[in-house]
Amino acid sequence: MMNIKAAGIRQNRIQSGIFGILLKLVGAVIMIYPVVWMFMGSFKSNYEIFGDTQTFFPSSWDFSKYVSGWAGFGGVSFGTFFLNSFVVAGLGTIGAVASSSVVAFGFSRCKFRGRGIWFACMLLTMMLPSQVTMIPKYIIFNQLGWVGTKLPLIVPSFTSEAFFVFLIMQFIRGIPMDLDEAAKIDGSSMARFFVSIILPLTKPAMVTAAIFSFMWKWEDFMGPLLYLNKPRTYTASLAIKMFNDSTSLSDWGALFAMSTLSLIPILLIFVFFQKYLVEGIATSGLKG
Amino acid sequence: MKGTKSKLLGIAVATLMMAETMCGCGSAAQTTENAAADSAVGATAGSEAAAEETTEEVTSIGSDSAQTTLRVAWWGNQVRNDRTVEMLNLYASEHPEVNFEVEFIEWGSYWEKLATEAAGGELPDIIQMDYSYLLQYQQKNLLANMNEFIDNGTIDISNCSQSTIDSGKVDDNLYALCAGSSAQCLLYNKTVTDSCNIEVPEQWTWQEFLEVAQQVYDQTGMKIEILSNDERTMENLARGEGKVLLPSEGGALGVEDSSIPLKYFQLIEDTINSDYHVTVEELADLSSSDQGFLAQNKTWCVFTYNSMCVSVVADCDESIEWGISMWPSYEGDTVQEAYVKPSMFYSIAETSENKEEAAKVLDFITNSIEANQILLTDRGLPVSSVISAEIIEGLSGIERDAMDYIPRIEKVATTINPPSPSGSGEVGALVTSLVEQVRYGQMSAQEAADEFFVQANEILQEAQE
Amino acid sequence: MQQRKTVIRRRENLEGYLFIMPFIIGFLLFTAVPICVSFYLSFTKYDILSSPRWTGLSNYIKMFTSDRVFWTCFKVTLFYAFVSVPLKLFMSLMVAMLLMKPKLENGIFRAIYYIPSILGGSIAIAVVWCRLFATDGAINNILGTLGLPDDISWLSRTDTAIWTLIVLAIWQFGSSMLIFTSGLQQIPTELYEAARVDGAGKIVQFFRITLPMLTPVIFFNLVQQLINGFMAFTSSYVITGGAPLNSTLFYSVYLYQQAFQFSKMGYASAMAWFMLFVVALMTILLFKSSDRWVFYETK
Repeated sequence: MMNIKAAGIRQNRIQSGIFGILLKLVGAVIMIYPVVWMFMGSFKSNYEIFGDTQTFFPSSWDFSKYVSGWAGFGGVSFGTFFLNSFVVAGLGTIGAVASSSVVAFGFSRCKFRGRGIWFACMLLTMMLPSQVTMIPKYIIFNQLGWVGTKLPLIVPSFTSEAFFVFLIMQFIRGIPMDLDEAAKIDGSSMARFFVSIILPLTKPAMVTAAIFSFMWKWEDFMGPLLYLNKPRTYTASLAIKMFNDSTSLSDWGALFAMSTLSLIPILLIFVFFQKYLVEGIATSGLKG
Repeated sequence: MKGTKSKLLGIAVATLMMAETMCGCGSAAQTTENAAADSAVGATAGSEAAAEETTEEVTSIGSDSAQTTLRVAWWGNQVRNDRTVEMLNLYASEHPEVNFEVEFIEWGSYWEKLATEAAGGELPDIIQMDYSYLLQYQQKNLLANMNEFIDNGTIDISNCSQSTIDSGKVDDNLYALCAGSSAQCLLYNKTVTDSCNIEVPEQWTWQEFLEVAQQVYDQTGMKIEILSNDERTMENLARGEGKVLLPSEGGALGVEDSSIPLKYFQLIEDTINSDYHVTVEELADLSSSDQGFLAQNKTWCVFTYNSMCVSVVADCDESIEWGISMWPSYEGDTVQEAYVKPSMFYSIAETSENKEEAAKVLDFITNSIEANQILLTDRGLPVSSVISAEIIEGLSGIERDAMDYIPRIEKVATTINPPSPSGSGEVGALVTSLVEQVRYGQMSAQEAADEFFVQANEILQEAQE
Repeated sequence: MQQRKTVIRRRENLEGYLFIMPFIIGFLLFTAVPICVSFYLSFTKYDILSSPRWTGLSNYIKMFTSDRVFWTCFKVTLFYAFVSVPLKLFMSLMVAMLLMKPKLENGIFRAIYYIPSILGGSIAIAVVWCRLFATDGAINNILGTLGLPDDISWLSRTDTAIWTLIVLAIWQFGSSMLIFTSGLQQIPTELYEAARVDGAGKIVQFFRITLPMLTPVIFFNLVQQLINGFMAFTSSYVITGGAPLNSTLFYSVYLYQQAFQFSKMGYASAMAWFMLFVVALMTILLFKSSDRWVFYETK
């Protein structure tokens, strides 16, 4: 009797395992379809993309769009554009994650007067459409003499970003208060408590923030458009847009080719960081 | 700089000052985090310098020891960017005292960036300008009057037609120098019309055109599409009666009643109810690319500009033979609607400190054969007759046909409408929205025409206030 | 005694301010002024190229009384946000749990599932999406093989077009999935072990442990996604452009048209502040309600 039941359970396990994998595979196909389509598009001529909508595969595997696209604009190649993107997204991410976790700790673990008001101010910055603050912002950066440099794209990140502060706060608030009491009895300062206890415990949140931050800064288009004046300082997101000028000939193949290349760094960052995301953390020992 | 501040919203100045003082306090009281942030900023500057160094030789246009740096901005694609940079390089090699900083981006973003730069008092020295934005920028005193450079001979316009130069004038003052000419045209699939035994004349009437459209549909199943994306067709109908739909002085439409709008909306209603016009479903499926119909052989012709023909054809099957003729006119019209339009202009910013040098560059672009052999017809047919004759010689195929169209149309063309007043963009959006409602059967042509007449006048009046 | 208390309090105040100092500096330097200026601009007529002119409440009056498109796009945006956000959160939580076990394949699947979110609102997505939902596109083909009607013109009908954008939003669930994944990592495994000892099944475990422990993260996702939903821009802008008949015209897209295509920055600012008011109100309500359902370790 017992044996039969166990076998039944095992049977179930296997079935659900296969079923689970199948489900994940179907999901993966649906999720990945447009990227594959874009990849195929990078080998097609404009006519193949728009005239002949029913074929999925290109007529030939011609890498010339990668070559002509990589050549870039006005003598500046995509090598430079990608390098610029790395500088902006990389430094910006370091700044955003570091400053946001400090601020998040302040908001969630320090009791100080005016906390509610400052927190409201921070949420407020998430709610106003950027279109209407864009011009006053430009004027401020212009007065600071920063227009034409990458500073307006990087420095504000070092003053924390509302989304990440809020995100990390939610994680810090999940860490038991007993730790604080213990630290206070220990006599260690808040700064040490933050660095040695809280910081390691919020690693998943910080990793999540880093992935998002890199991706958004990599894709950001408005900032580079307004603040970068010389083509050799343009980022990849800005340069890709130039393939599609509505008043002249668009090069769709090159657009898709460079868009495909532009995905790779974000994917690599994701794969690299997700290791830390799922490797698990030591909170288990602290609770209960 | 002073001008900037006064422009910057009275109240903002005070607030800004306050903020600047605060920031002073903030940086004085540095915490450890700030120190970290600061050192990272230092690193930024360093790596930026490194990035610039590696690419310096590729993009620096002109010698570093030049006394004058000119900023040049334009919209366009890869071809235009490459050619214009090459042309500027040529200029800089001949004039070591000048070097260039260039800014280029696609059309839509270009105007956002330019408006923002204008608000900050940081317009580039040489600005590629469009007819639809000319009046807006001129009225805000953002563009330099170029008359003096014409008078003192800095810019030589002796080989340019008077009407071409006049199109860049406001009140007899030249604010924009035409960079090339273009004109509206009907690009059609000649392979199809030939197979239907249709001889396409230089200019049809709308009635003839629609009859042919029916005929082609019956024989091949291919359709037509009447544009809905702006007010151009309606403007042409007004021109046919000798009227200007959107007069420069603004404040109101240049037509007294809704009869001209009705002509247009009637055209929209009649065609959408016919079988030879693409359906609303087909239009919606293609919303991401308006040239798809021609490429898919769903339509046999497209309303466009001659300067766009090459790019339209590039999306289509290579075996097709193409023809170019004029837009249809309306039965009973008294005036020829067709006109030659500057495809784009160059303007000099009023805030520029090097207007004279900028004017010399414009003269080079207009009159140097070497410069134009680099630029070719990318900005339309060159304005100097000497240059354009030479350039056309070197072209072939559809490129040549598209450029030959300009001398063809110039024989009959009438003067271009004066530049449109502020509010025109919104009137264009109104037309698009009303056309959609007519096509979806939510409004009759008459209702749309009445609505247009009332609302367009309101928009123009509000813009004027 | 009293004195010592104030000393401690003062120290706590100082510490708190030191920690949030980066935010305060950034806020005062880069954000506060633009926010104030945009509020001022909402009472003016401002075409960007010339100085703003004070017009009092006229922008707000026009917005509420005579601009029909304003209310249309407001309703469209509300519908979009309130439909797409719950579906997206449900979807991402399910997927995050499905991929919880630390296996290599799960890491690969997670990366694949994240790809659509990387694509964001790119031009490539715009083209693909129109292709998928075209009358002769893949979606109708699939419906056809299932024996369902396969001639629906998704993009041309006012009742279906918005759903193409909602499906896109759900499809890009990657960011909430990632946040849920890291949230799930934080739940101590002993809780599940204890539950298993008590004989609780998977479903009971989910409702008794996973869901309550995850509430701070659910709350975050809800607030953040709703704010994002209200401010959504790119999908409407690049895919449908608001068509047909403004049935997919998002509030931000209309605001953008006003600001840059019609040069009415003053009016756009007024629209932005109305949006801010609505979103802030909603956020306050969510925060108030959170006392009842969000479970924090810290009170």
